[in-house]
Amino acid sequence: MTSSTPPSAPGALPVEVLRRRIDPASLPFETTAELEPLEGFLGQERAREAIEFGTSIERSGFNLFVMGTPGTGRREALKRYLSKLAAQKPPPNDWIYVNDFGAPQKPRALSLPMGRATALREQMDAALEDLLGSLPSVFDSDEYRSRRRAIDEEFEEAQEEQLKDLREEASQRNVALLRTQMGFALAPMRGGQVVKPEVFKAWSEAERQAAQEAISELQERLRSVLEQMPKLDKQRREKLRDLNREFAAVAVDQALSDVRTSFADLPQVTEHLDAVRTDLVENAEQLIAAPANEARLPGQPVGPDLRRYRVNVMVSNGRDDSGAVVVEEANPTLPNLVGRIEHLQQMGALITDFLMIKPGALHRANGGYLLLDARRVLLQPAAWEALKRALQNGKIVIETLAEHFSLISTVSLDPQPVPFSAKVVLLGDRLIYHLLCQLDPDFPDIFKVAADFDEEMPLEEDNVRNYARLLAGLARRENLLPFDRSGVARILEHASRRAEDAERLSIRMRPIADLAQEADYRARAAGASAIRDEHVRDAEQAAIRRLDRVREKSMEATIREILLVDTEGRKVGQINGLTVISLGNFSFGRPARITARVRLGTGKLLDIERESELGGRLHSKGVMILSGLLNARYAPDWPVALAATLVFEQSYGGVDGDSASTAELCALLSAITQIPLRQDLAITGAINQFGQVQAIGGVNEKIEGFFDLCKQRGLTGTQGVLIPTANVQHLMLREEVVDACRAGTFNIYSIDHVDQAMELLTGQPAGERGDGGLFPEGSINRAVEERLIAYAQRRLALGREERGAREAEGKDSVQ
Amino acid sequence: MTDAALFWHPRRLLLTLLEDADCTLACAQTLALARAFEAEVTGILVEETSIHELAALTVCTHVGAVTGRFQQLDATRLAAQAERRAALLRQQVEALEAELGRRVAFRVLQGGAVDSLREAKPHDLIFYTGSFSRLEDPEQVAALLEAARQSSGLLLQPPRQQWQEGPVIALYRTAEVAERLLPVLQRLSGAAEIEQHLVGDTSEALTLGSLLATQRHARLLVVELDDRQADEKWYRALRQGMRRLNCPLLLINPHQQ
Repeated sequence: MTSSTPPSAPGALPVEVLRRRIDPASLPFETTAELEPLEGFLGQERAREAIEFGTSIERSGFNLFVMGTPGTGRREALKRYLSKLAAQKPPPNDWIYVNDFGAPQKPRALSLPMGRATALREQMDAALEDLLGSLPSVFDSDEYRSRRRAIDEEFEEAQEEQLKDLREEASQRNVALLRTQMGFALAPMRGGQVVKPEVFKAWSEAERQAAQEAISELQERLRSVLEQMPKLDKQRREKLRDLNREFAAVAVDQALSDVRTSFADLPQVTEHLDAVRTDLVENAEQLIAAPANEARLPGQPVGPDLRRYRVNVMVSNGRDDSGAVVVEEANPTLPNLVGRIEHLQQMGALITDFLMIKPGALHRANGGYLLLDARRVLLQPAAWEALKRALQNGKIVIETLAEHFSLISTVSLDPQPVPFSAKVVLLGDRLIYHLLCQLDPDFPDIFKVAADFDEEMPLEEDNVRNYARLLAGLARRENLLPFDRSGVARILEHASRRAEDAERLSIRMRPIADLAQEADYRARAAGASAIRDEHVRDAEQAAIRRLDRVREKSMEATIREILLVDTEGRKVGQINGLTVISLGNFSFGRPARITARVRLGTGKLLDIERESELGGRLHSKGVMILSGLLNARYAPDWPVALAATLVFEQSYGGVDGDSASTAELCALLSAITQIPLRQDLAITGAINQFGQVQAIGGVNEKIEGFFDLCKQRGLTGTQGVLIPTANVQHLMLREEVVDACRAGTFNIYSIDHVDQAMELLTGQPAGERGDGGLFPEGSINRAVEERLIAYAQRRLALGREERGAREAEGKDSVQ
Repeated sequence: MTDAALFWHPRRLLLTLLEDADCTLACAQTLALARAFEAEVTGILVEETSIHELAALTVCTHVGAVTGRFQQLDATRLAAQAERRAALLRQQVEALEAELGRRVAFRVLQGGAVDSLREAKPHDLIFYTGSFSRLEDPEQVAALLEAARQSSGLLLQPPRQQWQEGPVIALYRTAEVAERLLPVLQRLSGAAEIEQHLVGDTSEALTLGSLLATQRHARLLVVELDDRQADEKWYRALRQGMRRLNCPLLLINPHQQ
């Protein structure tokens, strides 16, 4: 505090509150290698309770929405938790698709006890393989050939018998029955030879007439004989079919006997095997005679097409009793969720069958747990609706996007839906949860349990110990060196800094894990056996270094006075505000000059940022609040006759937030009173209508931003930053800043009220209204009020003069 | 392989084409066979006079074998058809000559469907092609089998059947013949597999062979003729076999070699 500061002004904050230090000696271990890893939910009591409830209740719609900021480690912790739960649950059934021989476009879904699906597929494939050999053998057998020949000969004989009778009758009547290319001819005959045309012409009329009559009669007989031929052939074919069935049944029953025995306990499989047998027996001859299929489907062997008898294993849960499954689908497209029906293009046509049905995440997770990222599900066309339908209807219907949007109308498969019963866990941020609650009426009914993951936890002894165990788990999972106690302490301080709160720890573990991995890299490079504080610090600094090009350029521009920011002297209507610039994972503070100008006017406070549309809504709100404060606090009985302008100088990229409103008020008060403000101080804080200074964000970055500038120009010992008292608890400043404060070359002041800020910035007392309702003489507030009253009086005087002039003009005109 | 190494080697192909034969297919296959055996080729188009004579008989009635429909035969139309067919076949024989690079004897024979078979010599392979509805006539089947017995063999080509991609299936009575005929089959099979079976007699070979060849989509069915006189059992086996066959049948007569 300088000598010109009034006694009522706050003093600089003690060094102890500028950074919360974790004393490595307070940690009860040497390295994290000694600790049992913590794999649960650290600092997430509320979320843990919700998850325990959501996973234990077996009711429809009690699925979970786990919300929170990404990087809190909720996904991994949740997966570990669910895996433990799943291991205790009974293993879910396997699911297969088989052909429905009555309706091939509607494959049947069958459920089998765990591990039996693969066995069925293997045994079925083996049976079909057997059949490929045994079926031709049966049809090549002497017994088959003999019986087939008997049928053929029976037909031949019957056919020949009929023609023989007719031929004999014709012969008796001197008519020849001759075969031609196309059929039969009946011609007159004499002496066993067909009569030549010239001979026939020489016959008498009576002879020719008799021949004609005989041929006409025989025509009718021939026709009836020919009519019998197809019937005889049909009888032959029927007998052959019966013969084929009889022989095929032998081979088929032999081939299927092992499968039948193995699955005799499953009626649905037995029923399917019956259907397979019937179809095989019925089509055995075609199967043997089928050409080697040139347009083969994947997996189809060369030879008879036996695909329709095979088994499509959709879900197989292994053969060991490992409980239910936890499935995480990272790419929840519609087909990846509900499964898909693949097609093969052949000769310009798309073909498919039940073996080309592929399972989705819902199939795989059936009976267990399914983890999905809410945003990804919502981004995928039709995926959200399909997921909801599965949860609402309790069954998985395979549908394609093309069908969903009616893009194609080709005949495809319509597989029997599979019953669905799994606990679905959606992970997403809070905005998505609240939007879904608001906009999707189905959502609350199917995701009844919300688990809200916090990003921070109190920096308490228990939590510190558990944090260290969490780091131990991280080190083991990621194969990192163990952290020694100084490394843990440094990580804890980093976590506190990330939480922007000296009393809390950030539990967003992704950035912590990134830092730990980089620290491990540096420790190994240094040949250390454990990660120590210097490795963590090096990692922190290196990470900042990689990202701070913009900060460096900004600092350079300020030092070269391209960006104008004073760090010494006093100026009227000019103050150093503090801004935070965020660049992805990295943010830094940057001082910004704020200026105010006033003149006589009509009470309008012009926020140039807003007028130029560079100011955000929160910033405009802050300016309006300070306008309200000005109007209410000073000269309340006088009309406001002030015109003021406020601006963030050299700001071209937009300003938002109300954290500069205290600075803006101070600049405005300076401009009104013409009392200069110290330029070696910077200020941040949001003002309310009563002049109280309220908490802001990014306090550490803001202080460090002004410190860096002052350090570049040379620390004077008077420089410092004014922050809201409410933000003191958030201080986790860089050690360099703390050291400067300890040395008295830099100062941090906490303020509760704008009066304290003005006293520090001007060196004059702010003053409070006395019993007479007036601010004391010589105080800043008295100066403000007097100046505002003077503006008001001047305005009233100007008003009277104007009115008088108008009245005079009126009289002149009347005259 | 030299010609002398072949156990069965026809020196001439007697291409017998009935009026309803697929001439283009027959010429293509004749070309392949002639090259395989470096054989001469003699082509005979059989113009069946009986149908023309019947057509001239005004009282004669013709009945369709399938439809049972009666119709009068038109002698003029039949004559014109025969003329066109002969002209077309002459062109194809000329093309065959050009491909082979040597003369192909060709003539039209007026007579019965099997009259051309009488010209077969012992070293001839008869390539008989046309509608097999004629095989329903026992006399014609007998004549075909007899001609096969008097020559090196008989190749029966079902109409409108391209050679398929399946194996060559051969059925013999003895392992010795199988072994000696293998080089012949290799010439005939190209890249196709060869499947050989031993059977008791020709009629059994015809029955089993036709079943196998149909199931396997055979490229060619080869059956060794035994030296016994063909009987009714043979005839039936050949008729039944040809009804279901979808590949050519080559009846090999090793006894004439």
